[in-house]
Amino acid sequence: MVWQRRTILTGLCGVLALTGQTLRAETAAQTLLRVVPKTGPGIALDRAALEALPQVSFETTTIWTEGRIAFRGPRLRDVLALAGIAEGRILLRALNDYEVEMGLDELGDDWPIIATRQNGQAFDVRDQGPLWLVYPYDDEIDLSRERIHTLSVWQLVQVQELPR
Amino acid sequence: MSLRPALRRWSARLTRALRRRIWLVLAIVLAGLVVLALIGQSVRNRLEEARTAQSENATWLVAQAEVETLKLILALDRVAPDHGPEAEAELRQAFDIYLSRVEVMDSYMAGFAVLAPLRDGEHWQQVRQGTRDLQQLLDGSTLLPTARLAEAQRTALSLRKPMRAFTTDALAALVAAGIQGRETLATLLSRGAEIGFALIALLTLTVWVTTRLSRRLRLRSREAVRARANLERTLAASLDGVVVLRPDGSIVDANPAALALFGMTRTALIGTDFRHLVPGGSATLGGMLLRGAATSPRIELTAQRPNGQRLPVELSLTAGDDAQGRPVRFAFLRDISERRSHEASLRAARDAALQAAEAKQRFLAVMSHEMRTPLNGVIAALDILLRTTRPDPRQLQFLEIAERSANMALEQINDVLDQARLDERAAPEEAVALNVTTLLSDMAGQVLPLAEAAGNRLTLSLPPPDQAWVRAPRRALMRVLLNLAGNAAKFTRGGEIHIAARLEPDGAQQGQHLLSVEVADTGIGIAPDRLEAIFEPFERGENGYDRDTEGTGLGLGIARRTVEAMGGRIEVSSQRGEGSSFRILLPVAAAQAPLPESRSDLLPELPMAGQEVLIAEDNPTNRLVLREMLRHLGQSVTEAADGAEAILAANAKAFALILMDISMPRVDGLTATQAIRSGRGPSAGARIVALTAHGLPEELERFHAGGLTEILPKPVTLARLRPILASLPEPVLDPAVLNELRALLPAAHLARTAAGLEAEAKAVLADLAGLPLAEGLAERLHRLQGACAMLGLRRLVQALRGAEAHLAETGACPPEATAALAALWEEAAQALATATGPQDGSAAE
Repeated sequence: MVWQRRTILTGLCGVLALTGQTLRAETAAQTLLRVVPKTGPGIALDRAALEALPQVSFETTTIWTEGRIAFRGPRLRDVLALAGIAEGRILLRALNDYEVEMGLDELGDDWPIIATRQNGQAFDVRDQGPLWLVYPYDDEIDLSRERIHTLSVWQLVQVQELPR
Repeated sequence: MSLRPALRRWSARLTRALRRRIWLVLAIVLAGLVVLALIGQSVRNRLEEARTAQSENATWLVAQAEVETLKLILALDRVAPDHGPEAEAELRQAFDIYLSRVEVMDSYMAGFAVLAPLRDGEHWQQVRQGTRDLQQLLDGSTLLPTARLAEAQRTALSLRKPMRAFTTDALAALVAAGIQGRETLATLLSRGAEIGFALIALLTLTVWVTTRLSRRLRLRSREAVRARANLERTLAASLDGVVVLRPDGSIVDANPAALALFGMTRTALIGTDFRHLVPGGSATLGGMLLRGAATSPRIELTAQRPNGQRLPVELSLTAGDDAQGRPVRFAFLRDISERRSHEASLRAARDAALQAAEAKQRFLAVMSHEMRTPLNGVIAALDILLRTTRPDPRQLQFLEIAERSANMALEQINDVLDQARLDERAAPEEAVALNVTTLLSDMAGQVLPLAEAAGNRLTLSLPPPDQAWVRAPRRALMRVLLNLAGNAAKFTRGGEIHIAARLEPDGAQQGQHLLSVEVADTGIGIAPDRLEAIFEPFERGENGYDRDTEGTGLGLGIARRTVEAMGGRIEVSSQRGEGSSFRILLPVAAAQAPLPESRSDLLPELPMAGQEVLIAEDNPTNRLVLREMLRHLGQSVTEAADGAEAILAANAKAFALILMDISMPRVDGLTATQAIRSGRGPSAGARIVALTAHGLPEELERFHAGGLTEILPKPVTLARLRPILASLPEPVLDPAVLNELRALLPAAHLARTAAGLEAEAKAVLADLAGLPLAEGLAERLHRLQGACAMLGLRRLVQALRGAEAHLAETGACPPEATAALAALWEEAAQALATATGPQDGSAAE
């Protein structure tokens, strides 16, 4: 259903605007992320909800892009807290059904963030968006590189708490 | 091939090398550590790279690119049959994801060196182109026309191949890069391990060497400590005083011996100026202390103790440094007062011995002169009586007894002097050819009277004379034999004395004989315990021996020492009361019998010419005796009582011969001889013969050195005088003959005779020079010779005889002989003119 609406919207935007990507991202309060705890109902977050949360921004390079990029977005920790997830393990899922497990003990104080903007602009699927779980890659982080790369989920769509 | 010494040598060399190059080793270690650190950093970087694991992520990315391509194709397949908006939305999502992957891949390759080459590769460019085509086909309108979809499907399908190829290439590149990374890492790690190992080895070696060095150092320091302790103990126990001082003389330390030597306590001695302790030599000592070396290895000084006592010390000095490196001097001191006193007593003893020896020499010289001079007078006087007079048989017997006794007394004195000579190890008498049989016969002849006087019978058994020639020192042998035979005669009464000689070739040596002479008697014999003692000087058999025998007590001692000096020995065997037997065993060289003396002078001998002879002799008896002997021999004698008179006489007259006694008052013979020789008197060229009584060897040497080369030993006898006179050159004019003529003829007659002779002589000499020889020249020559002889022109007569003999033999006279005759005639005429001059003539009248 989400996809359907989004598709329609995308179609509309494609008709209305020259550059469809930005238009599409900014037009509707479309659900971008679902957070599903073990018990109780999950929550769906749109751009506004995500950007209403405390924002963290940092500038970094990544191995997948060229040049430095300023990322901005809420902490994953804060997003999880919204759904009452404070410990244990979670499963992160991407648009292409990529899934990866993560322990909450792997979270840093200020990372990762669920980036909603690159250089102040929202970004869409073609640019690994609209949500991208990013880390300050240029800083020393208490995780191995492989783990960081594995946990840098593009096109994040759902976070699910895993049973113990 | 032992390994241990080689290993030890090697390790020693290594230790030396490392010790010298310790800084080099440290530098190598430091460099190694730096390299190791760099390698470590490099490995860390590599590991960090591995940790970032870009390649694994890349693999995932590459794989995802292909997966998304296939997903896009699937989405296109699903859209194609019934073209609804829902399917188209799925298609767009799949295309968005695909596009995202392609973009990521492209960006990723830009930043990743391993894959960067593939970004511009043909396959990836085809993918990019296809992707751009798809974007044009799919973007823009919703509800895509079927034709565009079909076109998009074809395009997507055409992407599969290049995408597949790209994926394969990328994975291969990633695998290769992985392998290369691992290899680099492995190389780095093994390099690091190598360097680390080398460093560990080097450090281990360094530690080993250091340990070795420190152990050696420890050993050495222990050795030094031990050496020091030993040195200290040695110094403490040393009998010599050792003082350590500064170059300025202040004493730093001293050993117990030094404290005892100076009679001071340690505290009193330390700090004292050493020069104050040896006041005598402080000036020289100061310089030596500054230099640090003595002027000679050992110097003798006088030290002074605080109580004023002085003692002689010997000092040696050496320089060194103390523990702080300041210069110090070590003085070694020895108390030499005991040695000094030893030296003094030794010197005294030596002086006493020298004095004693001198006294003995003086005594011997005096004895030699004072005793032998009168004895020589006696012997000479007896000689004259016996030879020049005709005593009756009874007188003759007594004269002979007197002569024998005198000779025996002289012999005793000579024995004593010989003993003294042997003491001084004088050169032994020279060996001469002698006949043993003759020698023993002569010896027996001398002993016979003594033996017969005691009623003994003397028998001889000797080798045949022609086989008895040997070489031996005659006088010494004779004396020994006389001694033995004399003893036998003395100690035997009414018994028998047998002398036996044997001469046997010595088996060991060619030309050597062993002479054995045995003198056996049937006398009183010698007690067995005295057999050795009789050879000691001044020993006699026993008291009973001396009562009726005489002897010097020197004889046997001298005999044995003489025989031993000749390389032989004396043996004795004896039975008390039955007799004694002495045997000489002497190695002698065999000798040829000398040829009988031939008369080389073919001319008949002239009667002995009368010559002018001067006697210098202080003893009136001897002078008288000598004068009588010379007159008996037809000589014209002048006497001088001492050297001074002799010089005067020699300056007044030309003497043919001067007999010079050596020891005379006022001027001795030696001085007188030198005065006569160096003077210009008419006798400067006279023959001078020294008269001496058996002088000591060094005296004879002195005579030789003083120009007295000819020596006539006393006692002087006619037999000894005769050859000397005979060997004098013929006088030009015989004074005795002329004196006789003067007595017979008036002076005028004599002058006429001389004048006639002169005329004839000149004529004969002239004819002799001319050729051919005048008739009857030989006859005239002979007559001239007779005339000359009558006038006593002896030298001319001799020459004329030679000329006559030559003329008779060859019929001519050589010119040089004629010239010599002429010269001789001149000489003779001169002498004749002087002798027959007017003064002499008037004196005769």
